[in-house]
Amino acid sequence: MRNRLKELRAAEGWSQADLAERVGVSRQSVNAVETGKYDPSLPLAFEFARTFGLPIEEIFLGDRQASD
Amino acid sequence: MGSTARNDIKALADLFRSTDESIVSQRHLMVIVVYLMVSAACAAPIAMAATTLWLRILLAAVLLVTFLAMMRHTVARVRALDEFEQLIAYRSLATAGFIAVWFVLFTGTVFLLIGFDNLFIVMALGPPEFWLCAALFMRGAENAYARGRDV
Repeated sequence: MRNRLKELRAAEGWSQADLAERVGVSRQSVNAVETGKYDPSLPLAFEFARTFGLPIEEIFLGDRQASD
Repeated sequence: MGSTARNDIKALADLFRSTDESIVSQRHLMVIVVYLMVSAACAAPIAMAATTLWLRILLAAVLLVTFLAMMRHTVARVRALDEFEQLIAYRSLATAGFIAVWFVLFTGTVFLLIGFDNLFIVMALGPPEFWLCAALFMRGAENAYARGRDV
């Protein structure tokens, strides 16, 4: 699964630590999700979506969506 | 000392270098060191044949209580972590547990084969080895998965 976290975070001018604080996880977790080493749980994905004010599918892209 | 050995020592030092945001904090490592010292202090007299039975039982009890305290401390820490860190922590604990069981079985078998029939020391060395492995694995996994720069 791919995601647009880095791009969206950069647009807001936030560091990984800033985003981690807003979402309520560690910076390492944000790093692992951003780099695709860890797929977040649904509650965490919703938390990212709520933080950016976007629907989940605009942040997290399935492999098929990403290749389209 | 060769450069490979120097690199290994540097890698180990990096592994133990703590930051406040690390899963295995400096405080947690200190607890592990204290546990290792308590275990060593208990294991040596337990292994000595000259020690009285009551002293052995007392030291074994100290070892057990310390182990349970360590377990309680770790469970409380892991529960406070977020989902990704918990995944790393539980995987590390499971791997360390697997290795510790094999360590006890293998070392116990070797000791029996060479005629050293006091298995107390093997049993006493297993738990500290478990915690040390768990801490190393957590640090290693954290470095491998999540230690990118904050860009």
